[in-house]
Amino acid sequence: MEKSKTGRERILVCISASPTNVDVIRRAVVLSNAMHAELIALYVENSETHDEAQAKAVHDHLGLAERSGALLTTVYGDDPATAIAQYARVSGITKIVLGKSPGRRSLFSPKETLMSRLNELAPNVEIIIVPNQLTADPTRFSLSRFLNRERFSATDLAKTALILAVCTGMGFVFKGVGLAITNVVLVYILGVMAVSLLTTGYLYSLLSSLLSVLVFNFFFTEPYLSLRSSPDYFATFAVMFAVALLSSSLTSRIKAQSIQTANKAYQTEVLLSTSQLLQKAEDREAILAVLQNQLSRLLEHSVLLYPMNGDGLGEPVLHEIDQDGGFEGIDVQWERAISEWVAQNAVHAGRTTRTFSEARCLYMAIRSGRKVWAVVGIRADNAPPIDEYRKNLMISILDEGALALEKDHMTREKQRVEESARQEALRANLLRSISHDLRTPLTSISGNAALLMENMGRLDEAHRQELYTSIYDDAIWLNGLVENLLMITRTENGTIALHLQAELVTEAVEEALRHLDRNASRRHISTAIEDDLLMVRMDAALIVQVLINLLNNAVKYTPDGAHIVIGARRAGEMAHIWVEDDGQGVPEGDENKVFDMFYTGVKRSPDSRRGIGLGLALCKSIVQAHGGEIRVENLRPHGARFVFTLPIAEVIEDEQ
Amino acid sequence: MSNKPMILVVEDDAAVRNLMAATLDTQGYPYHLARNGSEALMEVTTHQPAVMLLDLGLPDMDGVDIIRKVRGWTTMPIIVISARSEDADKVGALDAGADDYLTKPFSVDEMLARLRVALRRVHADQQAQGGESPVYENGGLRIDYAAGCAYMAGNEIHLTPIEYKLLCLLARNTGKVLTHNYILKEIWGSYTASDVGSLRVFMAMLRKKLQSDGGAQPYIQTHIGIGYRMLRIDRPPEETQ
Repeated sequence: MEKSKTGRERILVCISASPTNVDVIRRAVVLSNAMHAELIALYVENSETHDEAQAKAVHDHLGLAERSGALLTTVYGDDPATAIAQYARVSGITKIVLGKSPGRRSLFSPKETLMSRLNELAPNVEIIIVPNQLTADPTRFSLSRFLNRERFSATDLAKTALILAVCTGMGFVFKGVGLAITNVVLVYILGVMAVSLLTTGYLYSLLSSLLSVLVFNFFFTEPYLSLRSSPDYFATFAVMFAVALLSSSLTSRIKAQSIQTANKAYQTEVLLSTSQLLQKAEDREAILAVLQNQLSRLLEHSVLLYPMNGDGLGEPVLHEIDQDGGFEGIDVQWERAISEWVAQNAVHAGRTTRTFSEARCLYMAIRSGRKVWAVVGIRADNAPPIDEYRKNLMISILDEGALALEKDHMTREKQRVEESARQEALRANLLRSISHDLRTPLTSISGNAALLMENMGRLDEAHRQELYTSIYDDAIWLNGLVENLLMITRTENGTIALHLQAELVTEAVEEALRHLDRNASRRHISTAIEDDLLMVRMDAALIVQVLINLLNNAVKYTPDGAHIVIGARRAGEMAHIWVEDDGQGVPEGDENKVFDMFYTGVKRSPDSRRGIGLGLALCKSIVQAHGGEIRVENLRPHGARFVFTLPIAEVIEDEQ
Repeated sequence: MSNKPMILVVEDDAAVRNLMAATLDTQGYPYHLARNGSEALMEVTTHQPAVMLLDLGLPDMDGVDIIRKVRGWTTMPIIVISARSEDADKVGALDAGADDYLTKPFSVDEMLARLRVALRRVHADQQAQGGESPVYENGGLRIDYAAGCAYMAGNEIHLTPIEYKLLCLLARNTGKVLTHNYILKEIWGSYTASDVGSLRVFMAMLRKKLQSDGGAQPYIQTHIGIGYRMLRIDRPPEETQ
């Protein structure tokens, strides 16, 4: 399997109850440190019941792995090889460290070793075997361990006796009716299956198998009421015992598997709903809220959460439930110090752990690798302790949350980089355009001025006037360009600081009309503002610039004598403001493109200077910064209408 | 020499300074030039000009500081010069006591017009010396302070109390641009953001009432983003802004 996304090795070490496991974990830690790899400790839980010594051994081994910096994970499955291989495939494991032959052997599972099965199931993962120093293999079946594991219970014993009694009763009924004796054998087998279904442990199945043979012998074979019987029946007894034992064993397995399936289904459901919610979450806050909610629901504890802000902890977010009294009466400062410790060391601490176990909450870092995204605190002092099963689910949820947070972080990082690249490209483009477009009018100004200086006497009045006008026009054009550029620097670097104030639309329009091109006097410009007191929230300087640009644009693209109308009206919460002309209109299909930077219309001959396509792009960013929209529509029979919207400012007119 | 009042031009850029000097020459105004803040202060004390044209971007001193220093002892009109994208600077200068502003690039006609407005104010102030007149007259507009009434071309204008207060404030500062903040402080005492909107509405109403009774000539000029100004109207109207 290829390396994980981060490019680092990921080493998996399998946790078991075996005393040799300590050695295996240590080797794995050494290996991971040497390779700077991420270490994951995996424990495969199955339906077998454990005695206390085993449970403690597993707990100790998990603790050891965690203290050594491993990430703990538990999966469920009766077949460790499949479970390990599946996990390794899903989480991009590159190496698996195993103790020698910890494979489970029983009557009904294949006799292959764990190693060879893993080799088969996950062929791309490197498997490292740690040699076994101890000779005793504690996983091998032994009678003392078996008996040790079974618990005697009076009710189970009573159930067994009752079921056998019922079977015997039915046997008599069958015999009385005159049915064949073989039917009675089947009744007993049925009874043994019932016993294994209703009691816990193999002992009762074994016991009932044995007893049923004896009772059958006693009551139903000749000579009756005696354990002696003719040799003909020995085969029957043997087969009956074997069938009873086998079927009881199978029943026990079915029972165990159904419990396991239920657990697995619950786990899948919780994890699935978590990952669905996480996928829907749009930002870091939402992801953290989902995690907090899911944890609180799963554990039925109050959960608090400290998001990381840079290098320190942010303000805690509380999710309190009534059952454990929320976070009342908690020494906030002190508990926060523990959270900070957790954030720095990226390990668990607080209640139910070895570090700061006097704390009220259990603190865990939501992390991927060494990077901590947040710290969760779970109130754990006045509620029953969290069982292993829930704990594992909780860790899965935290892991998934960490993945979601990492993904979110990467996405935002990528967006930032893309954005800055885009800005950079824009800036370079802008500079190129400007340096070209500034030179043209400057050449004209300096050339015309030189002409006037050197040929003063030889030029007639009309010719001189023409040169003066040209200089003046170019200077005014340059000023307009500079004005737009200044506004662009205010809007395009993302930190547009609007000085929003309620302003009358009429006043903004009047101001804009004062700054029009000289050519504007050759158009008929009128206003059609519905309400003199229409007031919107705007940055006056910016919106006046928008109006100037739209008006100059209309002047630029219409012939002399054209009509230009500035209008405004209220439409609900927004004011619609428009500039319309009866010129040629916008080329079909270019309605959206006109607002792109450097768009300058289709027919641009090399020597016509119509602007560098900044004006409308600027209008768009200004209007959008105000929370409005801008669009253009063609009019019939001809003409264009630029409309933009701005939020209306409501004014309370009161005279005291 | 003519008996026209003397103008002080404070501008660090030689080209613009020459342009302004040439313009003043063509109109026959006597003038003094200053290249920086310290020269300007010196000129103000030694020559006591009638009007100062002050560029806000001086190399040695903040223009607003110069206005504050000068305002300590003279009411001489000050016209500040700055770029359009620096509204905040203009408002700051007006609040510090400047009367008017010119936006770069400006035309010479515009400069001369502003200068005339300022000089008319000097003239009116000189006439009004010896106490506030009980009656204000400006073109067709007449305010009888004692009666608390305003008339346009002889007809009474019906004003609400706030509109009347606004009109009086503008009238007392005819020719001077009053910033929104200044007006709000004078009329309402203190102000909140919502009052800015109200001010726009009252001003619009007041302008409408003056205009509907007095023809095309606007008495109150709006300077969007900055403030308002009452213009001195001569009869017959000679120039518009």
